[in-house]
Amino acid sequence: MEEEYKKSLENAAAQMRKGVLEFAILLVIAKKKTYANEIISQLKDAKLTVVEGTVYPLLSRLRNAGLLDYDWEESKSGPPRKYYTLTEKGKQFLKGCEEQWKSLTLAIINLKK
Amino acid sequence: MEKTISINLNNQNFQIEEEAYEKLALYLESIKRHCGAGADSAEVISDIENSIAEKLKLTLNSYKEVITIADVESLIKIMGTVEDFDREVGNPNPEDLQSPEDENDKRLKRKLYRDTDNAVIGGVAAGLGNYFNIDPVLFRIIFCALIFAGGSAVPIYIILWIVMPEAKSAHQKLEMQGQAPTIAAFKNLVKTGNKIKANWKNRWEKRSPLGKIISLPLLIINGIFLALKKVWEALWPIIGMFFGLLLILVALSVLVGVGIGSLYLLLQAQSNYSFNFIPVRELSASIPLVWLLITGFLSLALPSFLAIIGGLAIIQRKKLISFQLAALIFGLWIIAGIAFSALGLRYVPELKYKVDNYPSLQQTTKTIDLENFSNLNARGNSLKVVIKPGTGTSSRAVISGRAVDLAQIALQKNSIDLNIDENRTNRAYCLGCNLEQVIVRIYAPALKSLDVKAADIEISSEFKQALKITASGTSVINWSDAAAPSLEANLTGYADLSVDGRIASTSLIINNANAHFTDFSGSSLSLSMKGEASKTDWKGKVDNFNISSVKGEDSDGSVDASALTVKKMIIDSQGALIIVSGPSSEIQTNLSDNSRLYYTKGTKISGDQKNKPLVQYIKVSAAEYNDAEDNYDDSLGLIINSDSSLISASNGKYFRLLKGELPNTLFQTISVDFKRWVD
Repeated sequence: MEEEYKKSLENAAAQMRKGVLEFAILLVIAKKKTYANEIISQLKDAKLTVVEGTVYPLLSRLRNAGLLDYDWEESKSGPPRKYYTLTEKGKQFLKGCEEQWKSLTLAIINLKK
Repeated sequence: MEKTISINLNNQNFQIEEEAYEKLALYLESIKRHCGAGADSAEVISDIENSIAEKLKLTLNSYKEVITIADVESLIKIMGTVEDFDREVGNPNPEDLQSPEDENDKRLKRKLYRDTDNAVIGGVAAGLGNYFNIDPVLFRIIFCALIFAGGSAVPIYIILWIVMPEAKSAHQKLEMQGQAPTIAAFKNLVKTGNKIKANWKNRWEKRSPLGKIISLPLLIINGIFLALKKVWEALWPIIGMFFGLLLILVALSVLVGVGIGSLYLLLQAQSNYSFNFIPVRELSASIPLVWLLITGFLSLALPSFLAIIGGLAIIQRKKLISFQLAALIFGLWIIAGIAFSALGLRYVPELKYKVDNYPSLQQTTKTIDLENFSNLNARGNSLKVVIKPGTGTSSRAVISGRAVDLAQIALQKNSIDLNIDENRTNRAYCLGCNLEQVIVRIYAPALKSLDVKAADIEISSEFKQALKITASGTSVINWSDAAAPSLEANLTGYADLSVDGRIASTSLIINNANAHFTDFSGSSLSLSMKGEASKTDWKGKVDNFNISSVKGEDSDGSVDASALTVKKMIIDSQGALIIVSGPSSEIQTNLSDNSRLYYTKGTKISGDQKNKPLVQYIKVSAAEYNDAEDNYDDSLGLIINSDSSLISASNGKYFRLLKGELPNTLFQTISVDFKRWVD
């Protein structure tokens, strides 16, 4: 019983994270031009549980959707890195996401009253 | 000790433990499968690999240079497995995912490895079986058939054994079986202890009765081979140690020898000293001797150095120098060798020509006319004097030899004496100077006496006069085909006189010297001898032989007159060993205690014989060597039958009769003890 409960809770949490991960990544990139490892560490700093391996396919998918773009920049240590920026479409998408988030949180707040 | 592998991840090199590598490879493989095909996924995979590379780099420092399984495990925990990916973001393109059925059907191309897990001997047949996916017994039967059909299987097997790599890692074992390196496949391997051994029992049961009969001898061979392998593994450290030590010793001695030799030649070439009368510095001035020596030294020293390193590596069982360094040394050796050969081919013949044609080393002949002389005194170790009577009344000396040697010979006429002296004390500026013989031909019609010290004398048969010889030192005097009225010789100090021919009257005084007379004939012979190293032997015939040995001393010289036919003999001996022969001899003796006289049956003996120092002997003269006989006693020179009968004996050996009767003929069956007393 306990086991099943824990599992379904974990699943619910994963479902929620799945919904917001794209939004969170876009938020990080919107602040400044950045690269994958820094995105991951910022997400972690913000206490968002993240499986690192999932970030890369997600970034690739966002870029294919035309929301992100990147260019190569030399790093002080190691090979050059991909620095991501938001495209115009991405900025708009982010705005849409923020509005959705606001209405979502508002809905939850109202429900909790 | 862990085996490490070098891998390249996003253009960065890592040293990684084999186990960790397998885990990492599997992980990347699973991500690739998860992402599916296409340009986008290639980019994602490259991004992920990049990230992995960065993370792995952080785990390394100057004390930790190798990535371990723990590093890979914590990496996977951070990056997340594909299951985590699915849970967190969902499969991006589920239609790409291969169904498990596909996976099973998809067999990778098998690779040819030796399968030592299922080996009977070296795992060659098992490996071939894996490669062709056939029961290896088939290959074993083929190998056995080929062995019986002429043995060609043995070299083929050995070549395959060398050529086929052994499947060691789990990855190689999967490749050998054509299995994709999936998690499930690895898990399977881990379960069986990293061995793909289907156990014998299982396979045994699966076999048909015929298969069982065929594989039973294989099972036995396998057992024997495994035991041999264990013995070899136990012995190898000892054999390796021995072999390594031998290698080091040989290489070290070559290195030291070549080093000292080259250094010596180098110094020699720089010095004013001649080497064996050859002025090395002068002759080598026009050739690059230093380079010749350096390249020559390197050509021998570099491989010796490598051999020493190799020997040490065998003993310590670890690699001492990198492959690159070894290759560098090898390369240097090739260069030095080529340079040495080129220089050698170019300059050595030139140097040889110069040495061969160096003026003072050429053979020369010098003729000196002399007034008549009657005494010749010759002294010198490297001096050979040939004595000839000459024509008419004029005397003459013809000297021949190398100019350098000739310069050291002094001829001096002093009234009736001619002195030939070797004066070779002036050796300044000459190292290792070997003197060569100088031949002096003397034409001396008036020669009466000869005094020799350490020289080599040859008296020509044309010289037919009475001669008096005094010889000492290591003089060697030869007079062959002699025909002279008399010879008086006084030999001391290891002088050696050999005479053959006819000399009417001979008188010898011998003290620790040797005299050999062969094909000799004469009417009177007198011998006085002392010194334990004195030895004379006689072959031929003489009318009267008078042996007067010096009294008192413990002289133990020997007189072997067994081949000399003597009419009348007088022996006065105080200790000599004397052998006489011939039943016609009439011997008058005066023998002291420790003299021994050996004689044959029928010899008439008179005179004093204290303590019976007389022994009968038989001389074996007509020997037969019988190959078919087994009982040839080499130390005795005798062939004796199993019933102790004498079959034959080596020619010229003497046997002392200890007991029993002397046989009338040699080859009659006898039962006597023979003891050899003279070789």
